[in-house]
Amino acid sequence: MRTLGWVLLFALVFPLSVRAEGVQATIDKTPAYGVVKLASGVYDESLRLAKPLTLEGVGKVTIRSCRSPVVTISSHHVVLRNVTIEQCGNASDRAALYVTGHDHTMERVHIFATERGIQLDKARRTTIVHCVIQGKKNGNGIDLWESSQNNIQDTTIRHVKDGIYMENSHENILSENNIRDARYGIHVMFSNGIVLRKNVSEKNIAGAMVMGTKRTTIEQNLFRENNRNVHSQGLLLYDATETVVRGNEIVANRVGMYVENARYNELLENDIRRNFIGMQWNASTKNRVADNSFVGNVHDAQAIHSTNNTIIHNYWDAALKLDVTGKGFSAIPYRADPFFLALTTNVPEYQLFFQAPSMIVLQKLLRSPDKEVLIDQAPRMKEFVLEKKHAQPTSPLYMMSVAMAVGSISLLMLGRKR
Amino acid sequence: MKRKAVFAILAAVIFVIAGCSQKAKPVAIDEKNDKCDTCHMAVGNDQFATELILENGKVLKFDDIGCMYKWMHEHKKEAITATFVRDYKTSDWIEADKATYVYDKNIRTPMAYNVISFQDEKEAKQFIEKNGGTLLTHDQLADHTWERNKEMMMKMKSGKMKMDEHSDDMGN
Repeated sequence: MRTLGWVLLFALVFPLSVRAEGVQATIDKTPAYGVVKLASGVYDESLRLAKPLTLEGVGKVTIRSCRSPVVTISSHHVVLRNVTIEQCGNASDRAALYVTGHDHTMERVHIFATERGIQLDKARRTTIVHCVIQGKKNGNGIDLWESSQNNIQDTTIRHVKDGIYMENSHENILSENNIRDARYGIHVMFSNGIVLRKNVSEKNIAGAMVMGTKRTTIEQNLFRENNRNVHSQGLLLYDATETVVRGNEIVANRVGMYVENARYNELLENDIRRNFIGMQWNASTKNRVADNSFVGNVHDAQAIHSTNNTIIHNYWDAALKLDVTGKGFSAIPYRADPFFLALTTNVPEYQLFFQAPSMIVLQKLLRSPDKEVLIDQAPRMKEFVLEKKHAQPTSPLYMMSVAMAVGSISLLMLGRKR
Repeated sequence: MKRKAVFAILAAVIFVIAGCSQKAKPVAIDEKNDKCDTCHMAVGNDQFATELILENGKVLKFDDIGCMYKWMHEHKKEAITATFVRDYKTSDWIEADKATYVYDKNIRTPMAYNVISFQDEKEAKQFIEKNGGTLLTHDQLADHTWERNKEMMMKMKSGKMKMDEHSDDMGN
């Protein structure tokens, strides 16, 4: 009770004195677990929060500095809420907000970064929620190094190098974030037990790169329009094991899913649509691919050096299908022939011949032995119904059809009168 | 007589062509479009980039020396005419066999193979004096295990934890 009294006292007293003596001085004077409230305005200084404390903006508060990091958080239980951080200057590779220690919270923090946005360096159990990071393509939006069990949620990241980059950082949960205009939206390196859930990563060079990982969960994300570069892809799994990729929408990327050196992964119930190549595999074995939908891709799937995978009950819109048992699965296996991939590996320019009639003839002539081919033994007759996680605007479509129907009927009636 | 003359001209032409043929030169990194031929990451135009040139003139670029060695390990039959690495300080291209290398698990490289290269052996030694590490010659590099930092980290972190059975790093 006494602590609460102190907290209230400081909360009431300090806002008035902040401007006169500077924010840092106020922070230094505030006891542990105190609250410092900042009134609307621009504060030109860099801050160090090195004890458990809450720094909260009331109204529109901007902390601005050309000395990086603009705000440094260490110790534990620091809360930073409702402030804008502006980094100026270009101290290479420095972060606007540097965080180490544990159990911190950053909420409604808006960062304008010239270099890195937020750097988590050996930070644990830290929550970043409802934040916005806008960069200048020089540094990563949020960069985690040896930082585990953190939670990054509902954060918008724009115009950075990698949206969220993590290395040697385990058991972090990334959910409902929105990343656009980055090099790689989410980049996971040598980190285990990571969860990516309901994120939207679009218009980047790659939606998500998952490399050197174990036990990653990738669920219900939307990887869309990652097609700006010849090497673009929605999701890349490289040297990944025990990953579960379930219920994602992978739409309009150059390559939907790129899988290499990957083992013991499960790719289930994903919607892989309108990509140039739906799924591309290399040197991957012992994975399970089931109940995915491959629709409207220029080329559904291609694989080389990838045997001993379980591929079953996927829906391939381009496949010849015949249901003889009435159970909803086709009796005709679907083969993802490696012919094109084998051809284009050494001479990428041969991609020009995709869909050329003579190539299809060649493909049939030089049929690869079944052992080397990725085959779905029982393709689905109909798509696996995937609950749509990202609301699609359907009402304009209905309105348009009604308007067109009304239009044509009235034209008919007018014509008849004449 | 005529045949001899033709033969002589042909021989001369061959010698001239052979004389003209130059050593392979490193090709500049194009950050926008180059990706590592092993790990698929973008290749930064920095001190970690490496490349190798095949006999057919094809240039392969890598974001980490480790990725280049992994590729060479997996493609032993390919004929390689030249390999290039970069000086850690100046980022100048160096022929790989003329460079001196430093390995230390604390050196951060793009794919965590933790090996960097120097044009000058002195510079490499200075780096080791300052930051620690092991000096490796080009020949010694062939026997390097290319164990990635991630595995080192795992070992240190979980003394009792069993190492990944399905880990399949090169050289193992």
